[in-house]
Amino acid sequence: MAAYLSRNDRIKTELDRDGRRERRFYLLFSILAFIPGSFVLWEMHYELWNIIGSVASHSPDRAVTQAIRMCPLYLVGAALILFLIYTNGAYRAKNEKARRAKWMAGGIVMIVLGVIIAAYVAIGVLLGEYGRLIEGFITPLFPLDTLLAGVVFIGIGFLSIRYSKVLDKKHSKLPYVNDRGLFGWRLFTFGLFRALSLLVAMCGFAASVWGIFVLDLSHGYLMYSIVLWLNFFTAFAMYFAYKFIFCETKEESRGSASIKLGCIFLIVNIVLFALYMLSVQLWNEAPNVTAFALMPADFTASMNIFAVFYGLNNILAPIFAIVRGLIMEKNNR
Amino acid sequence: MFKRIVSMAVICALAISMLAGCAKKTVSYKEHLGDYVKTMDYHDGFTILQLTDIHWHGGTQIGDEDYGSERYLRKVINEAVAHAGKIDLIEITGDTFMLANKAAVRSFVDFMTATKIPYAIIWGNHDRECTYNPNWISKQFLGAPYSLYTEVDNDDVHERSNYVINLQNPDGSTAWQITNLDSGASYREGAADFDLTYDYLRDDQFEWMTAEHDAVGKDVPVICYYHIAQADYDLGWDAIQAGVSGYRSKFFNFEGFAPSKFAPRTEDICLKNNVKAVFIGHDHADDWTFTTPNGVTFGMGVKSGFELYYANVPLGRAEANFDYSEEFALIGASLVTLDNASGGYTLEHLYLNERDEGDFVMWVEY
Repeated sequence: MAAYLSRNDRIKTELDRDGRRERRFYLLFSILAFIPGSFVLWEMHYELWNIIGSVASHSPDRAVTQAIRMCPLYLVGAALILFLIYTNGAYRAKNEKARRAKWMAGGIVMIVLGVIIAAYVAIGVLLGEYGRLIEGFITPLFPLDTLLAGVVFIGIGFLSIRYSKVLDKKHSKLPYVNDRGLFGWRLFTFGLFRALSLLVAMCGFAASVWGIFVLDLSHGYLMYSIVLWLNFFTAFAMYFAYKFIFCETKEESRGSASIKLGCIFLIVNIVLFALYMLSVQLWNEAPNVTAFALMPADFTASMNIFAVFYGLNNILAPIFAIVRGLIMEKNNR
Repeated sequence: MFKRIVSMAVICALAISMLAGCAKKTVSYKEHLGDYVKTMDYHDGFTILQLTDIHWHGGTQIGDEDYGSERYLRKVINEAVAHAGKIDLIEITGDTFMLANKAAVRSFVDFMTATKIPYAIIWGNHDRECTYNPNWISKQFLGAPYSLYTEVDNDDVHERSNYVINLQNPDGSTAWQITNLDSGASYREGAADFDLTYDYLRDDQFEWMTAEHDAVGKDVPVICYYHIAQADYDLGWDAIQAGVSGYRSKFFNFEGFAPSKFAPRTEDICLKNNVKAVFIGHDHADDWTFTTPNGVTFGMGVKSGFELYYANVPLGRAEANFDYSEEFALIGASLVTLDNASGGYTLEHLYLNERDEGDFVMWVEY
């Protein structure tokens, strides 16, 4: 444990003052994209269940009607996730050219998405698809907020392109990652799992913030509520640990860090999941009474989706981390 | 460090387990029977319009003048007022909201307030599956103008929207009792259940209902509203399909009924409490209604609006038991008129479809 918590194992110890400032800049961008992205994703998954409900009950026309109106929301979510991905990709680029290319490509896509979102909402309002510029449903400012987000994305896109040109002249002080890249089945497996973990982490973050406001404790069931909240929170905490501990550790210490982080989260998550199952077993009414707002999928689909989805994610992710750490350790020898 | 973290996890687990005892104590309904009661003045010809499964949410155009749910509902209510002369009470039998947010709820409260008609809302399986605390939505309707909603917090009656509306004669006696029950959302037997079943009415709700009925007199006729079908609907359908005599039925059944596998048969409880009719929602593609040989009617409301899904009625449905000459969408409302205080009432279903060439409006009496 001490190995990766030691300051000497942190990447930032290799950086000079400019490099550290650049690193903070990237991490700030990650946070700026992650937080609003989480809430948009959370709202999207509510809207998505309405659409799934219409399709499942043989009313695709209702689903289409809703999807057309919600399209800007989905695009805002996609743009924020994309921003998170390309800034992360640029941060962990394997060479200078790749870093510049990621800023450039990301910037172009952000401009395109921003224009589509802003135009979609503007045309939607003009054609009457949206009753007013501020309808107030979905979010208090919808659809104006998505239009403004589109404008912000256009600005971010131009800044990204500009930054890629700045990197031409002023070389980045951040280290390059010695990543061989993922291909074939490894790309599919790890890429899919990493993307899924990111989405679950974002939902976990939004749910743990929302949970403070929407968990109904007026009827008791405190243990159930706390355990449920912790299950959401650890989904986010695991990703946080991955990004800010594992990814910020020097290459040679990562294997050990991954094993230890994996072990800690595996134990914590098994305990939490067992407590969750125990609390539902003891108070089977608790999800109905307290947690309606946090598990729309369970109530829409009449399936115990939460337990399976979060349980699997929270237990499988640490197992992956341990296996990955063992492989890294073996390769280091 | 590793051991320290594991120890902390174990300590946290123990602390959480100890918090298990922190559930609130419940209030006994027996000592608070009056807290579940709202009253209205009764007159012969008292009209109750049932709206159900509105699924009001921000994903579609609630407020759009050309399309929205708000405009459709206003049309339904106006049509009912034109047909009956006056609507005395609107019963909203669940799934008014689904995956909605606070703005959607507030807009619905504003809409209902603008009708200036007293209304009683009960919860379906989707109403609290939204981006707000379930307690919050209760408070919105507890304090809203014209809303008769009431609930007793932390009582020992299953779920929340259990309350009665006593329709009173000028002398203060009760002519009819309207009983609203909360049929819950979903139910799981245990943590390992992957498939959830729908929730069901519990014995404590029937005991409470009986106590409220006893308090106004055993002869007072009752109409009951809740959301999810109990076992009676399947049993009634099966009996009629098997040709058992003494039943009568009308209207449409496109999707069957979706009772919980634990749902009880309630006819005996209805007979014990002089329940003349039970009306529910939940199944959007059904408004099938039947009367048992013992005279208890079990009806389904007509879905009020087009959100989520609804049925399109083709010609020639055998179970309808009435003639209709064109296809239409199974959306609208249902209307109960209380003819007298002896338990007589009339039930009509309204089918209202908006069409470019002019709205389709059809009233069918049960």
